Amino acid sequence: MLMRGVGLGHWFPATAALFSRLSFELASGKVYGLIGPSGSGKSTLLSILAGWIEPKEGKVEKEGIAAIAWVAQHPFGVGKRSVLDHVSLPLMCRGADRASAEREASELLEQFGLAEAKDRNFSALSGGEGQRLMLARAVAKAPQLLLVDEPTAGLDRRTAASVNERMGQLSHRNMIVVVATHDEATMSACDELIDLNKECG
Amino acid sequence: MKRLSTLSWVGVLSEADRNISSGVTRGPIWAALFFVLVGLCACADVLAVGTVATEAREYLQVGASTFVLKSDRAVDGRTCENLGNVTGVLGAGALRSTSQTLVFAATPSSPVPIMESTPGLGTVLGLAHKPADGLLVPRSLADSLGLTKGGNAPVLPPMPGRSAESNEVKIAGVYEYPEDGRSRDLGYLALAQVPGADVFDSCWLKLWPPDPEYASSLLRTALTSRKAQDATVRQLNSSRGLEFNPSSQYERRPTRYIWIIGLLGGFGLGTVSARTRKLELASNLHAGYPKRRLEGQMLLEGGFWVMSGTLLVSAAVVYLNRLYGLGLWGISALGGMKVPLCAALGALAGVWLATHTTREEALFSYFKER
Repeated sequence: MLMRGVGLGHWFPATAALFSRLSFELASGKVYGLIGPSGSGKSTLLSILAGWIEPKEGKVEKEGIAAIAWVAQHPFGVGKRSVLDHVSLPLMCRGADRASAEREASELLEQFGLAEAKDRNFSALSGGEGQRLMLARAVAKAPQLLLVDEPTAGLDRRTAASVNERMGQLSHRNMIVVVATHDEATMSACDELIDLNKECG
Repeated sequence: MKRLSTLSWVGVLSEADRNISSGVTRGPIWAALFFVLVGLCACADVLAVGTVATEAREYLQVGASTFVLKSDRAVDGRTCENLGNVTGVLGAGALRSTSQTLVFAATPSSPVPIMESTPGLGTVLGLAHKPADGLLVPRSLADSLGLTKGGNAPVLPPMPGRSAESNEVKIAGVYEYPEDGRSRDLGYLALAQVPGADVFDSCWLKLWPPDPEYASSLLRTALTSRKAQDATVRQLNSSRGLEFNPSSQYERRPTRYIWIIGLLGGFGLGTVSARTRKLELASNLHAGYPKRRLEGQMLLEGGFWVMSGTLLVSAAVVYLNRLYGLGLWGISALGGMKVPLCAALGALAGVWLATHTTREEALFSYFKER
């Protein structure tokens, strides 16, 4: 699995270019940090990698990437459904029956430090737990490309640390992980960093 | 672990079940909104139909749909009686005057005139069945003398219908003949029943739906050829007008298109119920939920509250229908059921369309705008 950004550039109408002539190569088994100040186009680049936005310049080349998962800045779930249900669904969508999916989901939740919370409803989770749940749900989809947008935004240091710890563990999985962040702790959990300002220069 | 390539329909059913039981569907709220919105439309239609039905029933009860052919001693009793078998004719019977009177023991100074009728006249006068042997008397006379159906009344001189051993007459039936604008012909007398194989003075015909021309043409077949030109046909009670077309009234009722409001209202409810879960649906699509199966899940969840709402509205329709005394499954109920059924279809269509048009991208648009 490989992904390349070749001479990527993007801007919005009546604004200066967010980034231009951006080239990089991403390989599976690594966590890439996408860094830069607010407004530098981190989230926009994630959207381009996801295929939701066409870049104004350049192109994205993908090899062996069929499933993409996105973890948004703010955790989103169904308030009245359990944590276990949230992670089981992607597994069921991959063909598992509910019993098998719940077993596998329980293992995943344990890896993301949510074993105790598996029977709680989503509405009863803290921000950090919610974000870890979103990561577990995304991983349950078994994507080849995982895009994570500011996973620790709005979280206190201690909670952010628990999320970053799990972020670092994602590199053991057979997927490309791209994390947009300006949190130094998150950056330290990444294998490589792509600095939008630097690359643009 | 053996895997299928995608989510099974059993999984879809299980997801729908969990959403309904956990309250994610908000079934009771949507069912209540459906009940209020669609129930108002359906009940308005039942009331409108009920009004038409009530008018029709009253028209029939006051004798406005009863037509009388008069021609002294020129009506063939058997032909008149047989008109009762014609489609649309609710009853037909012949009548003739006599010189006889009946003196009840209770009112010796007030002799009651006796007329002779064929058995079918009882049906024209609203009796459920053709009466057995005996006299038919109007309600006013029965009430004043304390006469009841099947009872015997003491009379002074020997009279027709009286048993040989006693001075009594048998009362075969009591018919309603109020002062509601109808001709007073049968208001104060006793009807003695005779076979139809003779000539009579008039032929009475109750027709539904009322059609004066058709009634006249039917009645004139009962005329013997003699004196046919002198015959007149008139309405028994003209106070409600000569024309009354229940079908037309039903078709022109003000709520005739209210099913469209029900359909659109249901569609709106269904659409909003799914639209309020747009992010959840987009998130599920992103998790790999196949669109067709997601539509199936939402239809199952929608079906739950749509069915609940429809049952509630149907119960209200049936209740109103019974309140109107129109029978459980009368035209009013059938008409009223059209509204909730259309609304139910509309609601499911709304749920389907809103789910069908939900895109995975909605999730990203939402977070981008946040």
